[in-house]
Amino acid sequence: MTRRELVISNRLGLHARAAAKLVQTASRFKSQVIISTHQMSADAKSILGVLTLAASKDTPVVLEVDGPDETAAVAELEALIVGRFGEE
Amino acid sequence: MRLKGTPVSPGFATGSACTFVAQELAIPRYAVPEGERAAEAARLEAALAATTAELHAAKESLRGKVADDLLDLFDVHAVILQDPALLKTARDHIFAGGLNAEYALERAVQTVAAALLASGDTYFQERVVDLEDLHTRVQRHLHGQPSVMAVPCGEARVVLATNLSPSETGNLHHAAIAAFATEHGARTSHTAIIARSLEIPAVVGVAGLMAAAAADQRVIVDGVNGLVILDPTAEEEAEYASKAEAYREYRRRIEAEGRREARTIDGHVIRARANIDLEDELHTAMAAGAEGVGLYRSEFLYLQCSPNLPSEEEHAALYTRICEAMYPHRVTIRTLDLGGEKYFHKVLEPEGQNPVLGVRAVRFTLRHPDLFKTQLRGLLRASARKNLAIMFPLITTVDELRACLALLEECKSDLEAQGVTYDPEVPVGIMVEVPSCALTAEAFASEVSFFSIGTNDLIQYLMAIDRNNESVAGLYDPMHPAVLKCIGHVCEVARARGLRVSVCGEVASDPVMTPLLVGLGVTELSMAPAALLEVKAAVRNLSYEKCRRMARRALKAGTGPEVAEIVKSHARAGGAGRQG
Repeated sequence: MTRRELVISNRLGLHARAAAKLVQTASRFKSQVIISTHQMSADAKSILGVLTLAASKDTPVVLEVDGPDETAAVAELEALIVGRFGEE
Repeated sequence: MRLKGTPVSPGFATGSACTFVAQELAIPRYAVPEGERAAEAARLEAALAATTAELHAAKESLRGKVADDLLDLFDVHAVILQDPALLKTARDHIFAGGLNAEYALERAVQTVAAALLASGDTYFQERVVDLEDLHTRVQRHLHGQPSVMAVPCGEARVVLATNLSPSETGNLHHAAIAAFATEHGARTSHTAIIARSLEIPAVVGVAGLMAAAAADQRVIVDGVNGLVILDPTAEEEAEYASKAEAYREYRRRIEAEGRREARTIDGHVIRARANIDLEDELHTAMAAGAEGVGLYRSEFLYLQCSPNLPSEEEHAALYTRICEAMYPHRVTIRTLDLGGEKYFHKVLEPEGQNPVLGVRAVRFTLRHPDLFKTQLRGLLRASARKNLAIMFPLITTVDELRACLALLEECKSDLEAQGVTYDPEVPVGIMVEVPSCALTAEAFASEVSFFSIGTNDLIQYLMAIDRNNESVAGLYDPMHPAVLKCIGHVCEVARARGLRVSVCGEVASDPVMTPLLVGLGVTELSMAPAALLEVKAAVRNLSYEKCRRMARRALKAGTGPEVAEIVKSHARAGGAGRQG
């Protein structure tokens, strides 16, 4: 399993569009992807799960990826979050 | 009969009504015997897939007609539909509970909606509306009656509906639709955004609309004032016919003038350029009449290459494409401005408590000369057409500027040694965004060919506010005399030395600020492409001399509200006539 600690740094936080990008990216991989805040965890392939995390800007999150393609999955998900989901 | 709503897309239209009343779908409830449950689950999955396909088709029909980020909204809906949690809950209801597909779906949607509502966050609560809209669509497929919003051909029709989903709004542009009005919806709803993008006049949130409206009756939609007039009188029809014509004329005029330069009534030319982050914004900028790029933020290239760094060739290729697209207009590229509140990248060191005041922009690149020189050589390689300019961000002291220039000279020698052609006279300028730099602009003037005032950061540093902290947001005031004094001083210095001076912060895109900036002596405005037409139109209504006098008065004011009053009375006196 690969674990990565990140911070949501885009202005709007994990709102619907950003959450959709996260889910689309996570869904491309076979590995199971869990995203957690201090309060709760969600399946990163479930938009409704990700949305209920209510992760606003500056929220620390932990990605836990487990499966055959976990290295590639972590790299892409990290690039997405660090790259602020392509927002300004 | 006049009904009031929220105007969400400007314009006026009259036509005969085409009504769509949302049908309450009765959701059947029955038990499914064990042997048929797999087939029932398959029926649900087929309906979900059909709805996803419908969304995809609506998205594709809009591609190229609206901005790409609006198209992302359809993806949001698509991933909601494909949500494993939603599907799993529904399947559990079918397999374990023996519920039929319709009822199982309804129960699953209710569970999810309750979770969203319980979050207590308005944003998530709004998603419930999306979820319910999607739910209805899937139910229609389950009922074997997919939603078809057929609008008769021929004469332009006004669409009146209980609610329109984004995909339904998207389908409307195929037909002859003059306008639309809905009983539900808000300014921020996806539908409203897409309507604005398609330039269809629209009013939403019209209480009582569907009870009052009848098919084929005459309707006026006033997308400026938020009115729907059912069965208008002959006088009202005539009044609105002339309003519609005046509005079309206004749009035609600012669009036709868009490509021409922005010249005040007394002949003073202000260059209007675009702020750009991504290459694909170039065509929008050109269509809106941008005279070049005033600020290209190069950070995105670093993010795209993350976790690696872009190579000299990648830099050169990107900048060359931009310069070619914009030729002969000038393209000003800002060197890497990573850090602070901006984008993160692995190359950044861990930051302290206040990154905005820490190692960012040139403070960072000067500590990493190899990384910096890679970008500078890339920039020089793209400069051979002589329409590229280089801009250094966050310059605080003259020493920093000299250090940047020294590295640039080293890069020029490197390229010469390799026999690469570049522009030896490539214009170099600085972002003026730190108060120390603004107040000592004369010390920088002999070493640069232009200044570009970054008002967003300048205001934040001048007023000692963190832009992301809402408790102090009230102190963010572009009209504060301290801000005007800094801008005015930089303009004075530039004018004495014959240098260009640009403003590239958010204030450049606000037509209310335009007379003040022109009056202070700004020679160029660089802004988001969407603001270009309106700001250029604002410049054409100004008298440069009157703006100069107004700016002198504003510089003597003691507070932001006093300045706002001076700007307002100048506008009232006809100094900045705007279409109201």
